[in-house]
This record gives sequence, structure tokens and C-alpha cells, in this order.
Amino acid sequence: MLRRRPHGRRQRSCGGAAALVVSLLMGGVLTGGVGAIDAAAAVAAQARAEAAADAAAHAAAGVLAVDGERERLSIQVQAGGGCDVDGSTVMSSGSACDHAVQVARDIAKRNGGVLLRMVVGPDLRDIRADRGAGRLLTLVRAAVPRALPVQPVSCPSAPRAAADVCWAEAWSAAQEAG
Amino acid sequence: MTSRRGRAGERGSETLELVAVLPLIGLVLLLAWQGVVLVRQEFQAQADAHALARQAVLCARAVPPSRLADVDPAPGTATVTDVSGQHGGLVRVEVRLDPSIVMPGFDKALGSSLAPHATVVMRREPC
Repeated sequence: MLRRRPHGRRQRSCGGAAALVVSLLMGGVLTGGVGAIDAAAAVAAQARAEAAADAAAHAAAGVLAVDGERERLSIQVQAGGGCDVDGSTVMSSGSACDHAVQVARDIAKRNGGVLLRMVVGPDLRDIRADRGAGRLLTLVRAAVPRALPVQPVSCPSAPRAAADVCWAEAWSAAQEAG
Repeated sequence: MTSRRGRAGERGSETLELVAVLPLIGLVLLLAWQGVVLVRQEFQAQADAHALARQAVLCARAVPPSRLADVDPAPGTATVTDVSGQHGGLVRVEVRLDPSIVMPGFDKALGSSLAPHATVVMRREPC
């Protein structure tokens, strides 16, 4: 009886160690799985943000290309006037700019994102003293929610000015052909 | 004699535990690989939708309509639909790839909700 006790104790401790190892393994697998899904969601959102920014930039450029006020806007932006949208602050130099901003916002929204910034400027190829109205360059920054499975408590409902974990951001530019 | 039998019994139970845990470890590794494959396909679907949308918004006269097979040999479907927007014609491209199955029965267990898919909406370029 006295001889068997140490053996039984050893078996019990072995069983305890095995249970601990299995628990740690399962914990590791669960944490790793959630982490992997989180990372995948974060990276996939980046691709969606790029698509949203690209779609918004091209839509705005397309609107400007056929707008009746386009030439006036081109001269204005070459002279330093602006068509610049930063969040809700709009520095507009006419109806063409307003229309392009509306379109860019709409397209960004349809791609699940938000328009953060849009700047219409002169195309560098046309900045010459002898040049009047020239081609336009449209830059867009859009943000898309990352939709993380484990959502941080501090996630804002709208993107902040600085980059954060909850929103993926991307820039895109559209240049007029020619 | 008792001690030798005890040691043999311990070894036996360790082997049994290992045999019981091995399929579990295999299952976990397969599940992890299945996840990696699905995430890759998700990126691929996003890239395909983007590429198709950029081609679909161009003037139809300039470029013939493209199919999913032109941008990606992976099996799947791409739906290009015209959407009337407030600011002109829009094109909505939805790409749904057939999921590559590493773990048998994974697709039946989870249905089509995990199938890699992506949607991109773009405005038609002026002709």
C-alpha cells in the first residue's frame, strides 16, 4: 500500500501536466485564430479603401472633364484658388467643384467608405506661362471601416484625422487624359 | 515487478494520449491553412472586382467588355450591372470566387457565407 502511493501521485501529476498543456495549446489556438481573423480583416479593409478612393477619384475627374465650368475651374486652380475638401470643410471655387465633391462622396459611400479629403489641382504637365486652361488632377483620400471581429471599445463611428486601428485609409489620384 | 509494470503502463497511456491528440493537431493545422487560403482568395476577389470595374467604366466603343476569365483564371462568377445613380451612370461589379477547399466538408459546414467575394462601384467615364 505504501509502495503504491508515490506511483499514483506521479500519475496524478502527469495527468495534471497533460491537462495544462492541452489547455495552453487550445488557448494558443483560439488566440491565434482570432488574431489571424483580425489581421485578415485589417488587411482586406485596406484593399477596399484603395478601391473606394480610386473609384471616387475617377468619378470626380470624370465629372470635371465634361463640366461646363471646367475651364474656369482649371484657371482658378492654376492661379492658386482651390477646390479642396477636408472632412466637412469645403473650400470651393464654383459649381463644378461642388458637383465633383458630391459625386466623390456618393461613390465613396457606395463602396462602403467615407470621403476624407479631395483636392483638385492643376496637372503639372500644364503649368506653363503660355498655357491657359489645362488638364486637372484630382486627389482623393477615403476611409473604410476595418470591421474587426474583436472591435476595440474606443473605435470611433467616423474616421479621425489621424490614422487609427478601426479605419483603413487610402489615397488615389486621377489624371485627365491627353 | 510492480514498478516495471507501472512504467510500462505510463508509457502506454502517453502513447494513447499522443494518438488521441495527433488528429486534433492535424485538424487545427488544416483549419489554419484553410483560413489562409480563404483570405488569399478574398484579396484576389477584391483585386478582380477592381480590375473589372476599371475596365467596365471605360467607353464600350474603346474596350470590349471583359470577363472574369480575362483577369483571373480562378473559377468563379462576376456580375456587372448598370446602376442609375444620382450623378450619372454607375457600374457595379460583384465577384464571387469558388472557395478552394483544403479541409473536406468545410464548405458544407459553413455554407456560402465564407465564399470569397468583393463588390466595387464606379462611375462610367465620359465617352
